[in-house]
Amino acid sequence: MDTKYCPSCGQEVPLERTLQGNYLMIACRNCGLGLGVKLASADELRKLSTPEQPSLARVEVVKRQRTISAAVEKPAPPDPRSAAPREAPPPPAPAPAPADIEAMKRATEGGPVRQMGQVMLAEDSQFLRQITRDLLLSQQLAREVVDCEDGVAFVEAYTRALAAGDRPDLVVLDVRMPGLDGQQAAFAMRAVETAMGQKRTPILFFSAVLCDEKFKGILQELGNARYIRKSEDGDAQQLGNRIVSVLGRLVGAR
Amino acid sequence: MARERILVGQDEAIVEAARPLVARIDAEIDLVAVGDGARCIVAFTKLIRAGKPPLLVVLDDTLARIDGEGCARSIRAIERAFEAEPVAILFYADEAADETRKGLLATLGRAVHLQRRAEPTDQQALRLAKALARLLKQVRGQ
Repeated sequence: MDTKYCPSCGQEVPLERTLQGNYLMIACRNCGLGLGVKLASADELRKLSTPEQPSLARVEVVKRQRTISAAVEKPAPPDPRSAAPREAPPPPAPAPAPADIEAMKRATEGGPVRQMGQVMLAEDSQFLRQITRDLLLSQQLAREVVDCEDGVAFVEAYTRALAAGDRPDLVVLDVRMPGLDGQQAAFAMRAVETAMGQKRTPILFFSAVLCDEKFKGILQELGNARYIRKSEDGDAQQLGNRIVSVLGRLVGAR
Repeated sequence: MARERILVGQDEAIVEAARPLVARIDAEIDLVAVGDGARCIVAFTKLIRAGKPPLLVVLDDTLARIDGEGCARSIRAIERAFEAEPVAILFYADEAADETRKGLLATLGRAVHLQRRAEPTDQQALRLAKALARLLKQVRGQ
């Protein structure tokens, strides 16, 4: 276990990284972020973590004919000064296999979710952008994912898409982003839609921030918007399950 | 000649007080009051899309829904999407420009900040009209 800034909540917290089969499991003790990254093979990871490369192991993540590179730092050695035995963290559940995904889709309300065309994603953490993109594609929720690194880039990309008659099927927004946060980006997006006489694209806020009464009011005002709290899910399967469920309601609401 | 527009995201009373003052500077200019940040983006996008961008946009820091900074950043994003030239932006706000604001102005380009003094509305409107007169000269290259 080593201490790093969590890509979800941004806090400097212990990030637990364990290897389970072909999955690298990453969990944050602060917000509960749990992610599973499928590796090409467990042997490959061991080969890459050589003594010549003590601080950094490069893991090739292969999914659906795409190769994603994720830089993974090796865990720090245990501190010899800490004499008290540490409570072992509960092992995170493995990421869903394809068969589980089908069961997950059937189990969620509203039945199977149809595959969307394009999803536009605004998330300032490169790591989470990659994971969310991977989740949407691997669960066949979207055929294409357009990444935006912040709210400003998103407003530009969304406006450009509407002007070209290429409206995405769904927008996924992080709430906390530098420059233009998710809430303001969503209002700007709705304003652009109004100005261009377009329908309201469903919005899914995906954030570690609590959805309080004020934010619920904002969701209502924006219309066709839902919220997923990253930190409620302890592992990738639960998170994936809730995303599928919320997407079903969102896409069905159009 | 088509009338030109200045979008003003300020208190309604200031806009109404500034309207006759600006008309004296240039009778062909319309001050368009936008109640909040979202309405400002709607009006701006419509104008850009029609190929008739506003001469200037005046923003307050405390606009509802999208604040002044968010509005300005959105405006620049929309301009890039339509491959339009950046419109001049005037922040007319209660606070003086600190280092963060100066950094924002540099990032935005073609943006200035004017502190709104704690004085009666007609005085605030006069100060705004004078600033608009100076900026219009710059915008029109006079």
